[in-house]
Amino acid sequence: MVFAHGVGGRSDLPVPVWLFAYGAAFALLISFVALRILWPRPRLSALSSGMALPDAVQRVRPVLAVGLRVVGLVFFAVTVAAAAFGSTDGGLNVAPYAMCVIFWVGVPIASALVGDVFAAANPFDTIAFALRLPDETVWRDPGLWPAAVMIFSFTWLELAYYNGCSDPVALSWWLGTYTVATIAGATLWGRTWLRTGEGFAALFGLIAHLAPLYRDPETGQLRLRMPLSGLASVQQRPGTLALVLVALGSTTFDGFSRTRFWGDIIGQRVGWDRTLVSTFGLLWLVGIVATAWLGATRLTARMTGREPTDIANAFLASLIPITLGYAIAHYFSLLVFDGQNFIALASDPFFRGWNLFGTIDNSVNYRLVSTRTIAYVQVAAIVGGHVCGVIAAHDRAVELFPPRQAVRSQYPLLAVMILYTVGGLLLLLGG
Amino acid sequence: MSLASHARLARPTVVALSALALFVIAGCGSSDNKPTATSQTSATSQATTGSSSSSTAPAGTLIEIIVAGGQAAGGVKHVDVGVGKSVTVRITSDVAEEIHIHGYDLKQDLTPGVPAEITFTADIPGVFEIELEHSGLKVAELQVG
Repeated sequence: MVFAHGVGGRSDLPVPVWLFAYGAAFALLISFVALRILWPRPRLSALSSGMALPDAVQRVRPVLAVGLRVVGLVFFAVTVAAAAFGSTDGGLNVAPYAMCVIFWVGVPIASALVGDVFAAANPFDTIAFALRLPDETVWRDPGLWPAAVMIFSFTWLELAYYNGCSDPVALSWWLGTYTVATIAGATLWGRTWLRTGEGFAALFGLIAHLAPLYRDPETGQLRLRMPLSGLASVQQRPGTLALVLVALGSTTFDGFSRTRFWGDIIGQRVGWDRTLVSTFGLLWLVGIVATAWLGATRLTARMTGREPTDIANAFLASLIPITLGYAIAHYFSLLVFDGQNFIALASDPFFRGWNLFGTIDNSVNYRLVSTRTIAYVQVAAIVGGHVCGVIAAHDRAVELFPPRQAVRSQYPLLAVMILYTVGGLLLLLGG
Repeated sequence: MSLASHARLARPTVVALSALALFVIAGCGSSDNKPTATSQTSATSQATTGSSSSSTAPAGTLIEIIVAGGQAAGGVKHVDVGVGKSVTVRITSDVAEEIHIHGYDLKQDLTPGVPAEITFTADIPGVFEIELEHSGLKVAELQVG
């Protein structure tokens, strides 16, 4: 039996100071070494088309596609039903673990490692298909601004709302509202918007640009490419930058809210009072992260005589690995430990005394990974995200600017990425 | 480009940097409280270990919490203990409540004015909240490891 009160009962220990110092020093060093050793001409774009997988694999693809759609729909339906009709105790309901651990943490990691699994399994699109919604409508594509708002609504629930993700009742309201909004959006803007512009589809789709595997949108072929090279093919739509900054800023707030500094601000507030202060904190951190990016890219724009907005958007691909790195650093242990609660509670999603998979009595094994390993993963994720961000920025810079400008133009970008990285590592110290 | 635009571009960067610097400084500043909090608890633990003779609980860290008027006296305590050490949480509340130690998932009902004690071995490393279940008030934070 699981007695957990809900998602995130345990948080990580502060990383050792020496590990923080090594991580920060390495990030600094690699940033400037990168300018010397990286390629003088863009390379990612040429690598990003990759090669087609063998025909045998292509023939399995339709079967795989249907299979993933079924998995996605079942996962969605069970999560919604469990949130609405299962136990109201967050520790006894599978929905918070399904949504806030497996989906919110597991899917982005899978997207970066394997490919766009959400696109393949997208339950909203399956519903839209069943409703026979059209691909396109007369309404103009709104870009990714709605997606940024949608993701903010989720991170608000998870990080600012006083019960967080652990409250099945609040989660069921959120899921219901989100689903209605999504289907309304699909009715208004069509299924193409649903597949590319809905919050999770858009965010996880961006993260999937890191993956070595992708589906060619024109031919439907599965193709293999150099990991990271997909970052060269990130489309700049209105609101894409906002979406990424919301994701990055929210994760930053999650770390920030565990510091003692924030603890003193939040004090002993409870309920909606706590929610209100946390909402300001969440907006504040998204604001800081966004201001730093806009400031740095403005400096680059000035050095190269370009439009600040163009530069802020042109380099946004660099933020994608950094965002994923932050997410892994903050949620890796959650996935490893609370993910076990998902496996247990999946046996009895509706609190009926079932034991579908024989796992209901499993308790969390906290010795699955050591605290030392967690600390290494955290620092490696942030530093790794930084290195990938630097590579993406460099590749874009040599594509956009003549050689001498290309090197100089990167200094503000390196500065802001170092700021994110050292800031992210500092948050791991706990404070 | 003119000087004016130079000043305009500098502002967001300065704001961002100073905001970050602010929270870094504040974060470091407040961590100075840490040894104080820890020594306070170890002092109380020594005191209680000496006085309680009939208790079957092994000598360990005592976290004493008094809740009145919806607030924990002395604010949210942060307590550090080593893995495998014994921890006793003693809590007195002025209203009926339920105490919950997260992660370890230990719970106990609280009767107004009556101290309740939970003793356990801190064998899961990590940081755990100690919370009043009904109001959601965080009363202490336990760091194991």
